[in-house]
Amino acid sequence: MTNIVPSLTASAAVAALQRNAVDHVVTVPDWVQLSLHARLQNGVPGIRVLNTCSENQCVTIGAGLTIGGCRPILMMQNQGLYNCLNTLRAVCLDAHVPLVFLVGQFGREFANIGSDPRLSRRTVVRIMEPMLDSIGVPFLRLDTDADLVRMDAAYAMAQAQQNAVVLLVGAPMAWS
Amino acid sequence: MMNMVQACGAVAKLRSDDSLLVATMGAMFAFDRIEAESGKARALASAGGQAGLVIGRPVASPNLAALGAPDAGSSAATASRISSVPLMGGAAGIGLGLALAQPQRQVIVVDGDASLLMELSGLVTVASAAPVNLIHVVIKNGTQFTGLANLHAPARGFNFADGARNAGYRSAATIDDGARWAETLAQLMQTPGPHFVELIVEPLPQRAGTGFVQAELPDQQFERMGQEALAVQRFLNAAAT
Repeated sequence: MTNIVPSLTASAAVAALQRNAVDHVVTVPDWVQLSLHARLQNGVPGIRVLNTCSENQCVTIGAGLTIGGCRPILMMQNQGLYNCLNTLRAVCLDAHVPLVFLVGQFGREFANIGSDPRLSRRTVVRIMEPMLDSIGVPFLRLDTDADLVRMDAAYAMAQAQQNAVVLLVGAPMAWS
Repeated sequence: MMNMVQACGAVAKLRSDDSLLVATMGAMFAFDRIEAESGKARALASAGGQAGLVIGRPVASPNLAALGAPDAGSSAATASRISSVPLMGGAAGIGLGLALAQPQRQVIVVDGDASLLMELSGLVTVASAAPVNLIHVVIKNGTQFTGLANLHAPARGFNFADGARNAGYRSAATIDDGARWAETLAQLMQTPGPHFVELIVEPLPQRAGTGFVQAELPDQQFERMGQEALAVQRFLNAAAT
């Protein structure tokens, strides 16, 4: 079945995680990335999935893993990122622990896909990029498989800037 | 009931040199004092403005030389200790991440009761990940801003050990005696975890009152966690080479 909106495919996302040597996915699940969650839950060699009870725990566990020498990615939805802002402030902005976030734009109306998410009629989508701008956290949009090279860039930016970098997944990932 | 020095002193005395310690603010100050008095404290390594944390050692090797020499002007703390400061609720998560990344090392988390309550579901997260090398301790003194204003924490009727047991920790206990705590800790360090211990501890005497003037929080309080994170990674990398 053809996907009704342009989006990433779960298989390409897994390949990007493996290419970037991600060894832990620390997550509170995201509706936008359900197909990727399903693949990870079924097992991907070299990647351990850590399901947590809150996004704050994603950030602190990710910090411990990073300090300990691992290469995690934090997977959550936009609501979750709003939920863990103070932890992100402490860990990434004050303590300069570099972390990459993979965040789904939950709640985005399909009519907005392909347009500027800052014009979404849904608050949860519309305020995300301005909020990240305001706190000095770089972000990159992932709208098609071709954008997944930005995951490589995100790790490089996080390392270079000693900061969080957020990858924003704009539409439900295809189950292929 | 034991005091804060007994609670943290046992950890400082018994933990191995290659273990890692995560603490919340109250315990951090206690460890600072204990380590200073025991002569174990040393300056943190300076980053020299050249390098920061490396994401994933298998991917990129840290340039240890670029991390610079120890800076006597930086905060005193051991290189194997990190403080979740200022961040209530963060200690268990940092400890879990370290424990999973460094499975051959013991990781001890000294949490606070009010802090743990902010991320109480972290008990389930820790138990689900089941790190055998993690000992999670909570200092239960029933207060917030202990030693300053001693405000009541909503923890008095809650049994943290029951919570950890129900979450799935391998063992959980409540201890109110300093000698028994030291004996128990020594035993737990020899057995697979995750272990949880709720320590019943006296609050520190309250300092604030009429006429008390609150001092500005120093910059160091906001920079410390980052400096310690860098020092811990340096400590781990040095041990690996």
